[in-house]
Amino acid sequence: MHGRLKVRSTQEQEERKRLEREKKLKAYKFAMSECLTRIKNKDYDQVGLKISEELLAANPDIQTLWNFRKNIIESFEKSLNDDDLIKQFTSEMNLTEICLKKNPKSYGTWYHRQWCLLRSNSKNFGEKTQQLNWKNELGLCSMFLDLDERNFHCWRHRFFVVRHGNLSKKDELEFTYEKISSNFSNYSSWHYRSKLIEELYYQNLIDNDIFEKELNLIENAIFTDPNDQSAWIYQKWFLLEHQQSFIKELILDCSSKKLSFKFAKDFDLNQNLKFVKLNNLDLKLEENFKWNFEGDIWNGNLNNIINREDVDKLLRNLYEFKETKIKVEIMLNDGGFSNQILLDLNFESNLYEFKSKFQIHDLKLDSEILNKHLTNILELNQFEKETSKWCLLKSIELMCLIDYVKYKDKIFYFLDKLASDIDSFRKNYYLDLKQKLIANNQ
Amino acid sequence: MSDLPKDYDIIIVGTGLTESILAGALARIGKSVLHIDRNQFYGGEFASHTLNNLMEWSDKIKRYPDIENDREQNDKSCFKKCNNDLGKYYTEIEYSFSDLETQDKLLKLSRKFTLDLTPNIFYSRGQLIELLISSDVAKYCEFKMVSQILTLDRDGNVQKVPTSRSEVFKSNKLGMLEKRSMMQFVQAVLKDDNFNELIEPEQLQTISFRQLISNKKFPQIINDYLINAVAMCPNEKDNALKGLNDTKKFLTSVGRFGDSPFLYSMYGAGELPQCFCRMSAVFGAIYYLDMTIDKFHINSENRIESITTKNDKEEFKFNCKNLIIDSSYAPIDYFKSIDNLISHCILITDKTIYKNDDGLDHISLLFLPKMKDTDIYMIETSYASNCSPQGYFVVYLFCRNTRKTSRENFEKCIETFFNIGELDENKPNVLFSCFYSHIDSDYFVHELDKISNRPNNLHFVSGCQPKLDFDHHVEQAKKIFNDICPNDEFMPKPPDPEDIIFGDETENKNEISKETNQNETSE
Repeated sequence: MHGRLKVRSTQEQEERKRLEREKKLKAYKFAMSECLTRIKNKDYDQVGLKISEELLAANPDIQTLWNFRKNIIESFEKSLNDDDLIKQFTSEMNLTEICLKKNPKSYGTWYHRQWCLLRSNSKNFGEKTQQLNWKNELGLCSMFLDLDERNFHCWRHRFFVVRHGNLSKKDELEFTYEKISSNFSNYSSWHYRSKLIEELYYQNLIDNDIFEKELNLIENAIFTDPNDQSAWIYQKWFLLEHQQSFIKELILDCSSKKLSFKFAKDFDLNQNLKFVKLNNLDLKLEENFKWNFEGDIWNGNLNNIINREDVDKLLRNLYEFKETKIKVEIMLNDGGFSNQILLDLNFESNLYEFKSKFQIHDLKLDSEILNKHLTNILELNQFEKETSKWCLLKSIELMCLIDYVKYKDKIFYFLDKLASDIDSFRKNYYLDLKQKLIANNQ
Repeated sequence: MSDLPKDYDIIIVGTGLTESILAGALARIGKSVLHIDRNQFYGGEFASHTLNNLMEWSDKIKRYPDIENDREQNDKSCFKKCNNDLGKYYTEIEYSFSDLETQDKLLKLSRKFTLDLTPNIFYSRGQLIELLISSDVAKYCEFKMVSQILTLDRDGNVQKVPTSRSEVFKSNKLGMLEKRSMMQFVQAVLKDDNFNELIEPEQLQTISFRQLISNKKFPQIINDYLINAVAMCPNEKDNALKGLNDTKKFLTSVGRFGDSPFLYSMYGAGELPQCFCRMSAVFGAIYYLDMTIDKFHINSENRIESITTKNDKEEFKFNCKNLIIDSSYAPIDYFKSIDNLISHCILITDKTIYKNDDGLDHISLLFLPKMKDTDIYMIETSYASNCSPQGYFVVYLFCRNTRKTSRENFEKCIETFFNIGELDENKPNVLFSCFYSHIDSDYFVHELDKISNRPNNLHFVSGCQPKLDFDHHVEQAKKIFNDICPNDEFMPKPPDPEDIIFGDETENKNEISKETNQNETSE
């Protein structure tokens, strides 16, 4: 054994580690009890900051200590001048950054950081120092997302920063494109993109060609790897989830017994309505019942219905007991829609209201683009020799969306293929879907 | 040197890559190792030089043939005289600057250039990288991703090849269905080792990779990507199995450290032999540079028992049980005229061959099949690898020599990419060029091993090969290691430095208990 190294045995290693741990534990317990006494006595001073800082740097997850620090800083706000306060906030930012490096998924730390940002920016400190600046904060987010692209704490923080700092959402859209390009399997970045698009939509800042652009992005991803879920799920959010909420507004007025709809599509409600249900009660409309179209709203008077006694009772109950929610179900003749919509009671106006969120129809949905999208996906399906589960399933959804009647045979053929061959583990899901389609389109 | 031990298990001559790996592996298991090199620097033909040093080095080689070798003494059976004439190994070398003004400018920056005599890049899943990781030698070196894999398309334009899923996704050169067919092929290659989805087993050896790809009826652009940039198997003699294996090696390397399959050694490839030497020294090997082997002594059982080393001032004798020498030091009478040559070219330029929009510095690989009947590898490095000052680029070209001179091999390639003769402002200007050829030492070692009365404890190792990666050197080192120590493990992971006990063990224990006592009293 000449010339070989002597190496410590595992027992010796463990003994060493155990002693180190004991030493740490003693110090930790002492400091913690010190902090708790100070919290009890409302002893807010620099010493408390110092002790809690060391503890948090070792273990960022002690929410009690973050709250302790918030109290101390709030008490300082009365006594310190602006420059010293800025210093204090900056040191909080540094501490949270150290803590996040130790544990990038520490709820308390991210929250404390947001608190500091909000509090200091409400005093306009952010303009005076870089570290409290909203834009600068994006740099920190990017750094943590480089380390872990699926850190949802950080994605949420980023959204928080963009929203409160009123930063350009278009730049952020570009940022998500970079993130998606570097790994399109990371759904976090797609999800963030969807949040941004909704936000842009509310502010009327959305580009006209967004429909084409997003579908192109989705197609690039699914052609590169059709078995990756992320892009498909994003596509579902983009096309289908909002497609279903074709009702833009729904208002039920219990006192004047009026039901009003605002739709995304132009059509004649008098000819197309199959049924409406309020909390599972079917409204049996009289033969001469007419929906009145005013502006872009369809109004119906609930006095002119056959089972009006039941309806009256229902409305009375709702009104008296101030139920907070009511369920409305509506079905049209031409589409496969059976939408259950929950209306919330607005306590000020005493109306039950529903207002839809982001809707693709407002973006001048171009059926030509949608058809092209379907053609591409069908082509991909061919190319994959009809073996890709996602391809088949998404073609079905798209065909239902575009024209159920025209594609009926193909839809059923695909469903059978999925159930029997490609994805027999979820056989019953597909058969169920088939039954549902048949029932809804009878 | 006179106070050095006289007896060694192994003496290694030459600090090239294979020798250095062996030095590390042998010292690691406790063998006594003496490692010498004729140069004042580490690495031998793997060294990296500053611009000045490169010029000095080539001037020295040009002078070599003048040195007289005392041949007459060499025919005795009790010893063999070794070669120290680098001119026997490097058959030609020349360098030039574009003009005097540039020469002055570049020489002022000399130290900012790191020019590799044997440039190379490494597959992330190649044997060298695996060895660096498993042996922990990786802690001594740094790497950068080769960020661009390029190819020359039919129209003579340089194109960036998408190498990963995300690059395929981003690519605007590929249509939707082209993306799909490329990805389908990739998935099929990765699926199993027999490539059942792509080819009948009996065809693997009988048809060429080129044939296999054209049978698939891919769009032309995909053909080019797969044959010239991914597998790099453009020739009829590259059978489907080789092409598919190379494709697989490329693909499995993607994603290990980043989007590219290749790594480039920061500060030049010359760092690598030094990393292994450092490890070897940590485990007790003795190093002596600027010292060469003059001759080795053979006993009656046809075994080498000692060597004589020599430099300008001194001469010594050391005993050894095994001798490992780089083929460029092989005994003079073993050298025959060898026709198999490898040609190199180093260029310093002022622009990159492929301008990317991102404005960053890149390291690029470009494989050029059938440039004047030889396949040329081209590596362009930049400030990104700390091998050149900002704004300058170093281009390496290497190939098997098929012409009279090294320059002739690269002529067409240089005309294609660089500003020569007619002025084209978009092309980079060549500021400095250096051409050299050396014998194919792999072929040479193969010949050496065939010599019948060769001492049986003498091991020859070879130098660089005209292909990517240094796998070949790792394999060679493993083979020689197994010949010498058949029962030992090849470079096991060294223990954590914290766990190594220096001096007496009991002292250490006392220290720990003292510490704990202090803790208790402080409370």
